Formats: sequence, structure tokens, C-alpha cells
Amino acid sequence: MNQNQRIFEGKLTDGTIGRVDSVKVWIEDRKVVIQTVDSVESRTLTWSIDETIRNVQSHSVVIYKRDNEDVQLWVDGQGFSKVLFEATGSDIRAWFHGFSPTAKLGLALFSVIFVVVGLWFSADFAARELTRFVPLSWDEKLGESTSKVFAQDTCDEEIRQEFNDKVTSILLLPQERHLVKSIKVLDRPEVNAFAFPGGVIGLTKGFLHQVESPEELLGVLAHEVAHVKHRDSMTTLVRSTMFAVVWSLLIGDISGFALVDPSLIYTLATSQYNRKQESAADREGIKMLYRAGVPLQGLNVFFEKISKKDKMNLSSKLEIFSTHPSDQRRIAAVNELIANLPDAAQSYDEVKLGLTKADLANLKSLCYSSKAEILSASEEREGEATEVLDPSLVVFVSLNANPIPKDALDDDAIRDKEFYESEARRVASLNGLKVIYIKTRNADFRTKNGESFKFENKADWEGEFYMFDGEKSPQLIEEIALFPDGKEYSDYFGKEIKN
Amino acid sequence: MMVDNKLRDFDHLGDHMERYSVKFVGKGSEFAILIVKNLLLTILTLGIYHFWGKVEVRKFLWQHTVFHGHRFAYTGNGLELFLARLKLIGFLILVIAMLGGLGYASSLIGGAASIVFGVITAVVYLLFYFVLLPFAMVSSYRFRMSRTTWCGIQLGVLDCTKEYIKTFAIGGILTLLTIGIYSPILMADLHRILANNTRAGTLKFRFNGDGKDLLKTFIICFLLVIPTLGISMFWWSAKYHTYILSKTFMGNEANGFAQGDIQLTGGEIFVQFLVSFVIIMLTLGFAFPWILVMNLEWIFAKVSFNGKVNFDAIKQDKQGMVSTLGDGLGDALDLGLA
Repeated sequence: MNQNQRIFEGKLTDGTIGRVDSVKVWIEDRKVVIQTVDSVESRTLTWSIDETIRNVQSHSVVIYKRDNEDVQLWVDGQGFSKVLFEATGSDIRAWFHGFSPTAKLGLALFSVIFVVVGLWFSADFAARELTRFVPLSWDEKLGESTSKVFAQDTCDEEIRQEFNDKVTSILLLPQERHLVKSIKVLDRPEVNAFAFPGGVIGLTKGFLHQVESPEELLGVLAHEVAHVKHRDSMTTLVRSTMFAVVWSLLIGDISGFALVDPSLIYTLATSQYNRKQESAADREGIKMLYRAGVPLQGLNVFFEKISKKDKMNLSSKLEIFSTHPSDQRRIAAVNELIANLPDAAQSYDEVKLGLTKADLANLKSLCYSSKAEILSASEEREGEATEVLDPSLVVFVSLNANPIPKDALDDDAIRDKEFYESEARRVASLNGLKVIYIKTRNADFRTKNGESFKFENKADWEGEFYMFDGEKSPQLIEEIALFPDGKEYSDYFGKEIKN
Repeated sequence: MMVDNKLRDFDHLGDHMERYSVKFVGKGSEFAILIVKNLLLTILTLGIYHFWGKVEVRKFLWQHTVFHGHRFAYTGNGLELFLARLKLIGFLILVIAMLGGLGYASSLIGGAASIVFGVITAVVYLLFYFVLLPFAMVSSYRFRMSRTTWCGIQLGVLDCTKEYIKTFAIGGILTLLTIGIYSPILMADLHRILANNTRAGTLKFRFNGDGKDLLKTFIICFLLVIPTLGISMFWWSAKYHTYILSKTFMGNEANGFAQGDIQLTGGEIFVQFLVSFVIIMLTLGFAFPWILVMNLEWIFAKVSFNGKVNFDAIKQDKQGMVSTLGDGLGDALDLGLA
């Protein structure tokens, strides 16, 4: 025994009976030396540290040999664990065990906060890097799966490929054009555009109705193509899966790995592009437009336009793929990008670019195939007392001809109105009608002078009418169609409306 | 019978009775550090460390539990839990694949095959609840006992799996049929099986109680659940544990006997629960390690064994207590905190 060595009090069991003997213990040259103290004959045991298992709790250490766990040495007191770790070469553990419990706890809490914050901020970077290892074919398979979900909403396909080719030849370099597989038009009233994984871009009918020029269309398409180029859908999936797996690990359930299945749509539906991805897509989109010689303002013009209109609820299925609703910050950021490109094209050259207003009109008409039929049928009708309205202009406002004051609503009236609202939207959508207003249950109709008005006959519709719902400023109703109770739809459209 | 005879002897040994106490000496801060360490390492290793972390928790709990001045030790390791979990996953995949295959086949065949498949699925679910679950409970208990030592003496449980499953299955059905009234009898029977087969070397345990003694108390508490908004169940818990422990003995003919005891009331349990709950809620769960330690300290301080046992003379005896693969499988189902 070295005179400078620390000697500790311990207890030893011999593994055959329950008796516990008091011993002295010290560490010497990577060996645990045990000396019995209270028997007639003193004996010494020497265990090589490498052949022992050591269970260390801060104030209690139990050591036993790997091949005989019944003979156990117990040493209480914090000092022994430190000496033990130093002997085993575990300097870090020795250092750590030298701290007070409060210091250890503080260090532990700091580690948790550091990891959580680190995970939060590095999640995007980690997701992007991990996505590199995901084969591109997975994006395509994912896109196919999700496309099937919306297949029934897709309008006619014939025009799309030609349109697709025009768009990709404008926006993408030849070696990139394979990234965009197709552009679909979805028969949905909300104003939005989507970039599905695998290169499928979706435009809603509601969106197309708002677009007034090819440069606006190309602006938004450039943004969506950028999402496809950046593989933002897959990155979002990887990121959400990372969080799900981490959470599963935290609660001790490793079945969270089951979430790493790209075809699980519900996983996609719980995530969205984040602001970084949107900003990056804006920048890339502007770059594409600049390179192609398309005026750059199209995207912002469109954003500003729709930001003034009521936002309609998105289907949760489409949330992840959707472009975030525009906001002023985004518009300002895009304007700043544009300001740094003073030599960008100022006017749209249809001949040079190839995408024309006629292409846009054709695209818009994809989900309005009944319009021509309606117009031609109405012209053949004779003796109709009722004026036929141009169905491309009319809009359903309310099936209930009587405006309902805010304070006069009851449950039945609300239910009826909600039913009529949804019915009206359905009929309008089915017949290629533009829905410009969905009446909320708290709205009522007033003239610009504030008088309430009843709509019982078409003839009553004269002058200007405003709609407001008590929360916003009155809005001018520009076009209106009426379905008073008891009348047939065909009275107004000259043809039996699909119902 | 042997224990009953010795009980009579206890009456004469009143002056020589000793109190063998239990206490928990761990600290909440230490446990919190352990939990944090486990969480971080589990994340970094994508879940693999979970099993080693679990072993660390057991080591902490075992090693800070002191009976008659000596600590327990947990001698298991993370690798065996990890391997057991892999085997369990393999087993579950097999079952699911079989059911999936049968389901697919029945859909192709159609007609009566679907009904047969439905019956098979129902049988599998019943087997899960009435066979696999009790199997997991008893095998998990056996596994943990086999990795527990006290004063170098290994604890263990003789093989009572079949008896436990049978009692659980029959008792479970009776409990369902009696809308829960049978449950105290079932609980006492299950405790008897485990207690009577638990050993610490040559030290035996014995439960002499009968669940029927608890029926009256249980029915009263059960009927009072709604009027007392559930508070009567704290009273039931106190009565149950007091009875169970008071009818549990440890010892052997050579070394003497001791009888279990716990000083517990329903009011104390209720207050302890309420305090724990409020603190956990207010701290959004962060106080969990301290609360757990507080509760362990509190409950162990109330437990004791009273009698006269020569622990020094207890001999090592591992016969019949060897742990099998099945024990590991049961533990792999991750029942319980540790």
C-alpha cells in the first residue's frame, strides 16, 4: 500500500451467506485491493479493475467480478467513485463526479436546453442535408401517391402537357426541365398553388380565376417550380419525421421509426413549408424570371391582389404543399430583390416567351367546360321571359332572398343558410360559375346609403349593393345572381343546371 | 402451516422482536440528472441507449433502497434488455404477419373464411389479454428479481408462470362477470403466487391472506366511489396494502421469521397524491424526479418487517430460480417505470 493512497471503509459479502464484513479498500495500479479488518486472520483480495463491473451512484459504489456477481464490495462516500474513475482512466467521469449535485443538475439542465435549442435551429439544416440522401425516385413515388388523392379534382388533362412544356422551357434550363413532370388544374375554389413532391404542380380554379396576365401566372409558377427544384416537400417530410422520431425517443417508444414511411399522407398533412423555404423559393423564382426575361413584378402583383381578398380555408390535405398566404413582409422582400435587378424586363414579350394570353384563357377554361354549352343552349331558347345571365359572370350570393339582420338569427336559420351556402358553392362550381362572395351568417345586405334590401325579383337588383359582415368595411358587390326560394335554377340560366 | 406454527412462537418472542426497516436514500437531483443523461443519450443513439438507460434507472432505484442497513444491487445490463426487445419485435412481426396473411387469404376466399378469420383475430386478442399480459407480468417480475441481490444473496422467483397465467385468466373472467367485485380476491391470489415463490437465497416469503377478507371493504369503497368522487379508492388502497403486507412473512425455520407491516391511512395517501399531482402540474412535469423520490422515501419509511431473522446466516441458493428467455421477453414489454 502506497502511503499517499486514500483508504476507504467498505463492506464485503462473500456470496455464500448473507453476512457482511467490514473491509478497508484502496486502489493501486488499476487494482482494487480489499483487506478484511475484523477477523482473526486478515486477508487481502485483489481485483483487477478490468475484470470487475462497477455500479456507481454518487454516494454508493458496488463492485463485483464479472464471473461472480455474488461476491460484492460496497463502498459508500463520494470520494471513492472519483478515485475509481481516475484509476480507470475515465477522467471525464472523475471530473464530473467531483461536482456537487447542484452543479451537476445545472450542467444537466444546460445540456437539455442546449440540445433542444440546437435541434430547433438546426432542424432545417439537418433536414436539408438528410434529404440529399433520399433518392429522387422517392419524391416521384410520393408525388404519385398524393396525386391519386386529388385525381377526382383534376380538370381535363389534354392541354396540360403542351402548357407544361411552354412553362418549363421558359423557367428552367434544359438539364432541369425533367424536374417538372406536369401542371394540373384542380377544380377547387380556393386561391392557391401547390408543389407536390416529384415535380407535379397544382393550380386551383380559384387561383386561375384571379390571374389576369401571363406574367402573374409565370411569377407564381416560378415560385412553385423553385419548391420542386429545392425538394421542399421531401425536406419538410424529413424534418417532420425527425421531430416525430425525436419525440418517440424521448418518451421511450422506438416504434416512432415506423413513421419513416414516405407514403404516409397524414404525416405530410401535418407540416407546411416554413418561411425560409418560402423566401428561398421567392428568390429562386425571381432568378428564373429574370433569366427568362419575364417582367419580375408578376408574383408581387398577384400577392398584393389576393392579400386584399378574403382568405378561404385550405384543405388540410393540401396545406403542406401550399404556398403560404402572402403578407406584406414577403411582398417587401420580393420588391427588394427586384430593386437589385434594374435591368430586368419591363414588358412581357408574348412572341419571345411563347406563353400567351390565349394560353392563359385556355388554362382558365379547363374547369369551365360547361360554359359554352350553357351559352349556346340559351341562345336557342324562345319565349323566355326571364333574362339569361352570362354564367361566366354570375355569382351566387344568397339563396335566401331576405337579408337576415345580425341580431335576428336563430339556429334553424343558421343551419339553413349554411346548407344553402354550401349548396350554392357546389352548384356554382359544377356549372363553371365564379363565386365572388360567400355570405357569412352575420352579414346582411344594405345599399350604400345603409338601407336594407330585399331581393325577391331580379328587377329589384338595381343600383349598387354592398356586403358587409359587421367586421369589415362594406364591399361593393359587382355581380350578383339570385336564387329566391321556390324558383328553378333554369329560370336564370336558360338551361337546366347540373345539380 | 409451518409459518403459522412459528407465528405462535412469535408471541413468546415479543421482547426479542426486531424492526427491520426499509428506506430510500436517493436524491431527486441525482435522479433528475440521470433522467436527463438518459434522454440525451437516447436521442443521440436514436433510441438504442434506452435499454442501458433503463438499467441505470434500476441501478439508481435499487442501490438507493436500503433494507436493514444494506443496499440492494441490480446486476443486469442493457444488452440483455436490448436483445429481449429485438426478440419481442420479431415475435410481434411474426404474429402480425400471420394475421395479415390470414386476413388476405380470407378476403380472397370470401364467405365463411371471413368469419373464421374474425374468430381467429378475436382469439388472438383474448390470448393477448389473458395469456401474454400475465405472462409478461410474472416473467418481468422474475427477471428483475433474478438481477437483484442483497448482501450478495441473489433474489429470485421459482417458476410459477403457468399457475399465475391460469389464476389471472380465470380470475380476470370472474372479475369481468362480477363487474369488478372479484378483483380483491384475484389481486390477493396473484400476490400469493408471487410471494410464495419468491426467495432470497434460503430466505422464503409467504402470504397467508385471503382476498375474501377484503371483499367487504372493497365493496364499500366501490359503492362510495361516485359519492366521494373517487376519494374512497385511496382508503381502499391503504386497507389493501396494509392487509397484504401484514399477511406477508419472510424467513425460514433455521433463521427465524418476520412479519410485514405498513402504517398507512387513506388520508395520507390522498394528501401525498394531491401534493404530488399539484407540484407536477405546476412544474409541467419537471419536478417528476423529485416527486418520485419523495414518494419512495415516504412509502418506504412506512414499511417494515418485524420479528427475528438471522440475516447473516441466510445462504445463497439459486436452485430453480434461473431466468429464461421468456423472462426477458416479458421485461421487454416495458411494463412499469423501471
